Amino acid sequence: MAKEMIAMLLAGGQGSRLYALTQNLAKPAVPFGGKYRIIDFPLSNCVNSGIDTVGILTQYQPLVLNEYIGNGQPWDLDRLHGGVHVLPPYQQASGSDWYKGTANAIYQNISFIDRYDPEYVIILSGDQICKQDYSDFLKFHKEKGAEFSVAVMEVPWEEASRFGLMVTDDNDKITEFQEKPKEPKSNLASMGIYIFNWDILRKYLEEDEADPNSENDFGNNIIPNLLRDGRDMYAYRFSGYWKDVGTIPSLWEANMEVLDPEHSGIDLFDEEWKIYSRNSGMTGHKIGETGVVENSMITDGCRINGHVKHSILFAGVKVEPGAEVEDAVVMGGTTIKAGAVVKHCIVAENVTIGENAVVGAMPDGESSGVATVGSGVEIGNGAKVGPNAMVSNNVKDGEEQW
Amino acid sequence: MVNSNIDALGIIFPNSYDDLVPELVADRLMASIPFADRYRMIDFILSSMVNCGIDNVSVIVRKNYHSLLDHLGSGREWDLTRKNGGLNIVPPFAEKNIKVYNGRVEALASILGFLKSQKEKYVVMADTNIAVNFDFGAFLEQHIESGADVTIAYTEEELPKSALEAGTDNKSLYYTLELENKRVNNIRINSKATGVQNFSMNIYAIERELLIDQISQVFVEKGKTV
Repeated sequence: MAKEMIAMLLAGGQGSRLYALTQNLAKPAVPFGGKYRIIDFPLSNCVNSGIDTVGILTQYQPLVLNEYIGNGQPWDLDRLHGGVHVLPPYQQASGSDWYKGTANAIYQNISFIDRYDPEYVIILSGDQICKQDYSDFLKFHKEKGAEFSVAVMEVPWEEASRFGLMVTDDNDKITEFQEKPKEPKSNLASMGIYIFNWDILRKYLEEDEADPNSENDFGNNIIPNLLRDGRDMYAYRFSGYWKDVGTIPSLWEANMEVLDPEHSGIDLFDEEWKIYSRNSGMTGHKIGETGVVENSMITDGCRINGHVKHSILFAGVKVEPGAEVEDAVVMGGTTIKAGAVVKHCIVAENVTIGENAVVGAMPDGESSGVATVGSGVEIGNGAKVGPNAMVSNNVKDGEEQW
Repeated sequence: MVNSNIDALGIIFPNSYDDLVPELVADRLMASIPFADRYRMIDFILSSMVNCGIDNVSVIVRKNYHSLLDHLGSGREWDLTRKNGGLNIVPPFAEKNIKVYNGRVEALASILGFLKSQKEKYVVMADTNIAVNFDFGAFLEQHIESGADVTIAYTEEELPKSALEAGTDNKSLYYTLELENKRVNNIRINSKATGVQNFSMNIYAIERELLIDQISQVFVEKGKTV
């Protein structure tokens, strides 16, 4: 039975600007918001929009991601026909290749898409925090008679130069595409979310693959080619919360914004649009006699006996008496020992922060860096990690890393 | 919603017409009578519903339903293990002052709370005594286009021998329709007429809100049956 639209989720990127956090982890698997991983957002958007078939294209360090996705049951994507499928590069009779670029990744999976004979394909990116109804986007695409549509966000004009911009006419038709231009003609930034008519997409993928000079990238190759040929291309304005969490500061900011859904942040308490995730299976969190928690999000399995302020603690985090945690994103399984001071930083999974150690510092006008400690690292007793440090290796007792 | 063009939930009555095959339903019900080597009777209506995009199906069981529970499990084989909707098996609720329900109206009254909490606009209902590939999509489309309050599926055939020969105390009611241009003018119960009749399949489409209204009204006025 043919599907109307299926989703292809690009989750193969290295996320190199997250450094220590993505040493052994694909960016979409990076934990977020207490109980989620980044990929929960596009997956939940799919199932909430009625899309029941999602191909996830993996490449870089996919092991944690593969295990996390499993059969897709937490996102209601464990289906007989369709459902979620993890798609790594594979060997074919004609040879094999890693995914050379975003377009090549889709090209190598044309036969997967053909199995569902869809009319439309939506290309999603697995590294954005966003709640979006893709069926509304599809409605726009159909109403405009488009062959290609891209979701765009209005950004402040001063920042427009940082983005890929779509220049449109009054009817939302795209007339030009500018990649990080010095002189922006538009303030509509591409969100990297595209709806294609499948026959059009397939044609341009095949053409692009045959071009040896192409980078096989949607933004750099496919879209300019569509424009060159005068295709019917439209820009769909999205006005909800959206954050590209590709850098340490933006990841930290997006997490902090979760604590303020009334103003700046994404509302994870929305009953109408649930973001699903795989359950940790841990028991409820416990705040002990000496524990104090202010304006924070505490997830299952946490044991709090210290002072936690304006922070997000993921599942199973332990904060011992006398420890102070503020403005921090502390990922699952981490232990913060007695008297440690952990401020304005990101601490990855299964880290041990020793007694009286100091990690990060609150901004003081001079520096506002977000210290980052990678997964599994041990920060020794009395050690110090400066506010701009990126820690991938153990720091011994009493040592400092800046 | 992408991919979904059917706004209906399904209700299946698996015990209907048990009385007509007493030897087969000593330890099971109509819905689990085996058929054609690998199926049980419920598979036809259930698969037809799922194939047409209905992913919220309630099965209101009444008695001898253990083999059915075993067969259906969580609904996995019919793609009905879902977070929203999916398969919903409703066993009867009975205590000293409330007897087990009798008939479809009482069965529906027992899930009135459930019906009120659902979001689908329409309800399609069926029994499990017919092995058929039924296009619920086309059925619902006609229901919506015609503007009817209730749409009933029927076949044009002679009444089965078991119906004609059943005694006058036959509690398994069957229905024939008197039609004028597709509009039902009269419904006959347990007719003994020979020759080709408009034989109701007991497959109904109705708006959920209308069903809730009707059941609420009828159920309050005790003593009436379907």
